[in-house]
Order: sequence, then C-alpha cells, then structure tokens
Amino acid sequence: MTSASRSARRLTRALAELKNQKQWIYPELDYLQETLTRVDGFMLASAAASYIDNEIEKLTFGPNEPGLVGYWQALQRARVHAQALEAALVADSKTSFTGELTAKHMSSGGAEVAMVSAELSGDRPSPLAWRADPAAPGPTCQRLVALAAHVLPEGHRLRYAEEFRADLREVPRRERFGHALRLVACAWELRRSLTLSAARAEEHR
Amino acid sequence: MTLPTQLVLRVLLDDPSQERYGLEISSAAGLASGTIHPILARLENLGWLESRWEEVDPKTEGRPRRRYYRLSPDGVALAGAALARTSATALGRLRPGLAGGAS
Repeated sequence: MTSASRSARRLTRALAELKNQKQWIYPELDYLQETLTRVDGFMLASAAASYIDNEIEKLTFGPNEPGLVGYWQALQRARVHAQALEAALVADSKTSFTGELTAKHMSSGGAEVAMVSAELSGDRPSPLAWRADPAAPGPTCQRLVALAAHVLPEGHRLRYAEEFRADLREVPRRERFGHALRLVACAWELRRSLTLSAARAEEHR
Repeated sequence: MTLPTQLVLRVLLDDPSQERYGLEISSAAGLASGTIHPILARLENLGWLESRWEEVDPKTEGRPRRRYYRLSPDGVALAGAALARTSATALGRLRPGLAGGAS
C-alpha cells in the first residue's frame, strides 16, 4: 500500500468520524466520503483539504467550547489527514497537481486529457479562454471536473469536460462544490453507460 | 424504467421540439444537479435523444459551450409509449382491475 493510499484511508475514516459528531449535517461530506472510497482517495485530497479549511475558517468557537470539543478535534484530524494525503501524492509523483494528473493517474488518458487537465489547472492559457470568464468556477471545482472527465472512456473525456464545465458555470457559487462532487460520484455510472453502449455497438457490427 | 428516467422523459416530452441543456433538464425534473448525465447518455445510446453543441464560439463568448438535448422523432413515440406503459403498470399494481381495462 502506498503512503497516498494509507493517507486516503485515514482521511476517509476522519471524515466518517467528523460526520458522526452529528453537530451539523453536511451533504457535501457524504459525497466527499463516497468519492474518496470509490477512487481510493487519489486526487481528491486537494478538494478535501479546501473543504475542511473552509469549515475551519467558518468556525465561531474555540477548541474548548462546551459540547463541541469532539467536533473541533475531528475537524483538525481531518485536516491533518487531508494535508498528509496531498503531501503523499506530491511525493509519489514529484510533480505538481497537473503533472500528477497527466503523468501518473491519467497516463492511459492520452494527450486530450493532458490538455484538459493542464487547461483546468491554469498551467497554460486556455484554448477556450474560459478562465477569463468572471463566472468561471474556482480551482477546486475545476479539479473535480477534470477528475470526473478522467473517469470516462478516452473518447468521451473532452466532450463531457466541456459539458460539465458549461453546466457548473451556471450553478450558484455556493452550490458548485456539491455539484462538482456529484459529477465525480456519478462519473462511474456514466462511464458504465458509455462503455455498455460501445460494447453493444461492437456486437451489432 | 427508473423514476429519475421517467422524470427526465416527462420534462423532455413537455415540449419535444425544445432543446435543453443538462442542468436545465435536471432542474426541471427535480433531480440533484450533477446526476443527470448517466441518464442522458443511456437515452442517447438508445437513440431516443439527439444532442448537439451550442453554436457559439467559446473564445468569443469566454465560456464553454452548452450541450443541448431533445428527443428524436423515434424517441418522442417510444418515450410516450414507455411512460404510458409505466403508468398503466403502476395503476395496475394499485388497482389490478384498472390496468387491463377489465373490471
């Protein structure tokens, strides 16, 4: 098991623990946890870390607040594991997030996915100029869209990456993270649909 | 046929000539955003749906193109028949005499 896998499992457990605190209900946590489980944690560390950091920023109480000590500690633990996962992924690939997407986890994806992930990460000017769009989603959502597209069969990635981005852009800002996570969570089902249809087409030839 | 698929088909059958994009369909069908694409892909693979890119230049517009969907001519007939069958089956389960028309 790689250190990234270990960190991913720890983060998954930390998120479960966070949810069990039952202080509040975060629908996003369900998606995050489900998605982490499905992809064995790869590439969502950044999304998890951003999400947890946002939650910590929003806290209006300290570590010793009566009744909230467990939640506060669970949030801190989740942050530690999310950061550890990010560090492990970088150490594994010795590259930036974009490099990691293209060089390691997307190695079978080919040039088109490299283009999409580089574009989404902002490492080069976008051929679609969408980063100049003031309504464009933030980097975490962009990474999730890249991941959702990566899950799909190679010939469908560019189409769905653009379609996902067009839809995401029209979702209200505060709902975008949940929307992007749902895209990732549903990507496996979409992949199955696309793969089955390709197999049927092959049978009919 | 699953309930989400039925909801999507009902939205598309409301006005079969109208083209809609994924987010628009999921909102109209009352589905959670981000969950519509597997359903659309299945219907498109069956030939019930047609899709095309929005005719804009993303560079000029500064945003990605939408993908528009609408029922194909065959899809209109097939979706209508499938929904009618589903309704009849559901009604039959509730009141067995009504589904087949016999008392």
